[in-house]
Amino acid sequence: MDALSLLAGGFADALTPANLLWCLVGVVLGTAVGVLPGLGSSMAVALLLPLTFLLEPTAAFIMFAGIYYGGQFGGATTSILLNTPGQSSSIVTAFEGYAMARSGRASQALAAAVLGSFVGGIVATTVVAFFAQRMVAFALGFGPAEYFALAVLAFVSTVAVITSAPARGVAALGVGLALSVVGIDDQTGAVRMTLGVPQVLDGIDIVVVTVGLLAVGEVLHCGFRPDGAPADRVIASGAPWLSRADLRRSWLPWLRGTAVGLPFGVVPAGGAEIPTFLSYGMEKALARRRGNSEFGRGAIEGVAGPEAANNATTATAMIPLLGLGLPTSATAAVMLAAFQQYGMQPGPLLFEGDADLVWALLASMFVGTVLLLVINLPFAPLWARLLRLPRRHLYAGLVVFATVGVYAAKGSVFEVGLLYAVGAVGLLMRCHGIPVAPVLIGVILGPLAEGELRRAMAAGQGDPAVLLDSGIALGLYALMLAGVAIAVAAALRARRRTPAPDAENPPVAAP
Amino acid sequence: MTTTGPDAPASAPTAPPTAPDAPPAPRTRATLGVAALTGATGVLLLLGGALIREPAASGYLGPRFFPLAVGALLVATALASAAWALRPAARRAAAAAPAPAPERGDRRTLVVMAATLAGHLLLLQPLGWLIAGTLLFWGISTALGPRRPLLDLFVAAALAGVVQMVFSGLLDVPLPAGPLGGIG
Repeated sequence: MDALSLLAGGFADALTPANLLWCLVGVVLGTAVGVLPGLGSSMAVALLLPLTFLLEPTAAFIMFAGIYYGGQFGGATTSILLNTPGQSSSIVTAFEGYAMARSGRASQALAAAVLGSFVGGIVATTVVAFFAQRMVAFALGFGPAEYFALAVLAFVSTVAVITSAPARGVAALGVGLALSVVGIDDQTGAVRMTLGVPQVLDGIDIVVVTVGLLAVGEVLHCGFRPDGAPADRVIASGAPWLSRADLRRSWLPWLRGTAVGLPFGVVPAGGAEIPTFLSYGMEKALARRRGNSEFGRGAIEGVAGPEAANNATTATAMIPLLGLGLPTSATAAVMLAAFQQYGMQPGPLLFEGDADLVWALLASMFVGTVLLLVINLPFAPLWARLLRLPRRHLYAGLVVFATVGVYAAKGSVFEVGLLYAVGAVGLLMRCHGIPVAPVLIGVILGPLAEGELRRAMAAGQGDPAVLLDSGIALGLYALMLAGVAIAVAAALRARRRTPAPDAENPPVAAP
Repeated sequence: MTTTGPDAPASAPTAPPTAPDAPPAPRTRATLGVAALTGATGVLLLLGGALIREPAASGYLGPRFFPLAVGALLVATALASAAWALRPAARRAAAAAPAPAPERGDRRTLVVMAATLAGHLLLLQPLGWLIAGTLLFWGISTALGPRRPLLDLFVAAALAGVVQMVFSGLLDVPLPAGPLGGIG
């Protein structure tokens, strides 16, 4: 197949010393922006985009790839060390990664994340290089009904798998969906749930919600804890390398995460969040089945799988971007802007018209992935030492960076106030033992679910049957029912083992 | 967060497990608390959804449908969950079993933190990032560990300065300058 020779040509263009240097600069700068809490890969790409315009196209794209992967890793780093994801696709990484960091395994979590990104990125970029043109056809098969089914699948798996108490999961998901409704309805222009505050007409930003719930809520909760957590205590950063046992536990999650992530980049479903959540749920369910689950206490599988899924998705997101001109994530949208800056119009003709640049870009994605591994794996223990700061400084710094990150992104004090308010909600939820993850899923996927539902109903002239009139949608619902059945069966089995009925787990219908 | 050791129950992925100090019938009360929160969110959605002014051409499902549907679902969940917890069998089990309850924490730390955050919101524009950011860091770190205020103040000023340089200088994101704007 001539894709190989074309790719070889791309590598020949990309692998010059000067380009490698730009890639290196990109990785370092991207990581530096990414480790600022609240600023992730899309922010890194957006902030550093003007810099790449100083270069000729090939060098610019290779630096771009470096920035992107660096930002991605930086976002995962803050997730793990500070419980503050830089982008919504790193939210899941925070769950187990932060638990690992707390128990002195920060370096291992970082290494599992880097290697997971590497595996996901390499496999997915290979797929993109060889199958891009064919996968575009698959993506075109997704209509409103399929997207709605996808969102419902994510909601149900959130409540049934990620959280252990469905009532609390529903409560949290409801808060998220309520937040997602705020602002101007983009289909009719109706003003919804703003309580008369003009600043939220554009909706409540996911960055504000994420950083507020996870970072600010965490700091407030730390101050609120009754046992007077010793604020000067330092968290041990632990031994620096992945042990053989860690590797044995990680390699399958890496591959599974990659497999989960691959198809999702192709369908424009709001980025890499769904596959990370699905991968997390899958690893958690598998660990529970094996009976040695460390989930909740820092399971390396919960970092390895989602990070691989995340990077696999973002790499395959290049398929709709290049093939259809359709950006499926914030980062892809910025990249689209970059393409247009160089006079390239992504779409079916791109592979013919600008073949040299496309293959150089694909080659530079390989190079960026490898460089990230080479540069950041040795630095994982170094980043982990961040945890040796006195805790009161770490937490105060967290609030400072959360504040300045939100202020920089939105440019208004009101948004900072909103950030603190969301942090207070996060405190309230933590005090009641309500998980915050479903809130984020609700905020991210709420608009997708609602918009596609309404679009489907409009297309079907108000007939709900249109939602089931598709093989892909039916398959997704079947998957959902099977998952719920397994979860219910597992819960029943657990209940039979412990005779006391569990008042916290009423069998509520999932949304 | 360091205090939740590896023996903590794996109840929720991000929310740390609550402290196991047990006031009377804690389990029922905790469940009812969650149900109350769920119900309040649902009622808010129902009210907010009812107040939406629907444009004439709204298609098949207008802007009201989604908030109302989610709101109704949440209220139903809250009622079911409360009814489930108040069953006689569940109450007997709850009275027997120890369970996590809402925490009652250290109000002083929280008050200092809340005051710091509120102060930062008020002072960010008039005083500029350098001063307001220094106070923000200093307030939070002092709330968490008030033993070395001078060291904290020094760290706070240094960090605020570095942030100012990185954001204004390198990333070209303007932060409020305040009265110090003319100097730097």
